[in-house]
Amino acid sequence: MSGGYGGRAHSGAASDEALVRAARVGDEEAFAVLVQRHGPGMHRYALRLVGGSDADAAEVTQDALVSAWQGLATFAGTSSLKTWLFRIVHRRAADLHRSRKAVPIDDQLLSHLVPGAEDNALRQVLDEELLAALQQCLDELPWNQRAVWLLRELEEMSYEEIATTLALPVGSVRGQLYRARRTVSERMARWR
Amino acid sequence: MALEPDDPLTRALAAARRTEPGWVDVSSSVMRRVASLARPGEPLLVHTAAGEAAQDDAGSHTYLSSRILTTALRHLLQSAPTHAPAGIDLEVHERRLTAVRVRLAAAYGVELPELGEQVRAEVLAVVRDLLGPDPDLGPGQVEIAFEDVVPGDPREV
Repeated sequence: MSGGYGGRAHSGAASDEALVRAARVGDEEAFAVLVQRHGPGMHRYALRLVGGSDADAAEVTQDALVSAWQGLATFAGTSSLKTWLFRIVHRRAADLHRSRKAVPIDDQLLSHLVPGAEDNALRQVLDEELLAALQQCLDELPWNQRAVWLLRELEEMSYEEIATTLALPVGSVRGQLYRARRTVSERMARWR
Repeated sequence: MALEPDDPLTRALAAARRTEPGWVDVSSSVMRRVASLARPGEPLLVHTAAGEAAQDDAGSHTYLSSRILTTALRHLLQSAPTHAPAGIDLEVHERRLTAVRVRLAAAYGVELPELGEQVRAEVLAVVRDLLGPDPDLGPGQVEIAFEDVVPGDPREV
């Protein structure tokens, strides 16, 4: 046999299962497709879970994805890849949460009040203020309520997926979500 | 939750869903860290066309990193829609490749015995291309196992 041994480009249409299979034999390109597919959601979830800190969210997401790469052999496939990845990022965020003291909320708010582009500037600033208010509200929720609310409302996971991700009974997910929704709704009502 | 488009919570959620600018840097950093984690390969003895251990005039042997062989085998096994690699293991004894074990996912409907024979021959050809013809490494040292059958191209499904 002669000639090169060039690799095959992976299409964005490949299933998670096929990409995991390829990544397990060392295919970094396949893993890169998975990172682009699931990473933005993981980063978004981490960002809101850790209080809106870009640096903390970046650290949590990077650690989670690198850990996923190293642990692909342990992914049994009994749950979806998405819930497995979110479980890892949740654990990393929980570790960080435990190791950090609370950050004054004013600092968090200021980081979101940077003026945007000239067009629709007023609306963008208002949206940023709404997001900051939501972040403040989330920061005040108990940890599990915050996680359940984010996975349902932001990532649109099913109750079963949330239960798998957080290792909670589905009934507990429903209860936590009910209480979180009530609190968020009350806090955000003042912006109407 | 049925919310109006201008509902404050709906707008806050929409703002939260927009891709954060930091994501591009995060993803780049992840892939850099992944690349840096590549395990160092172990040296595999290269043979001459005559089947002898390759060595120079000073008696030094020639070796090829197992990473190069594994990558070449992965690319080979990803080249057809009938199968995809699920595992590639090299058995090495005193720097000599003694066996290759390949686990595959195959497309439903493919004749597995024939595919197994074909893949075994292709794997052996790549090994001989890169390491030379070791007389102790033949078809009997290349193990092919099918661990999954999927409906369609296993590189995509």
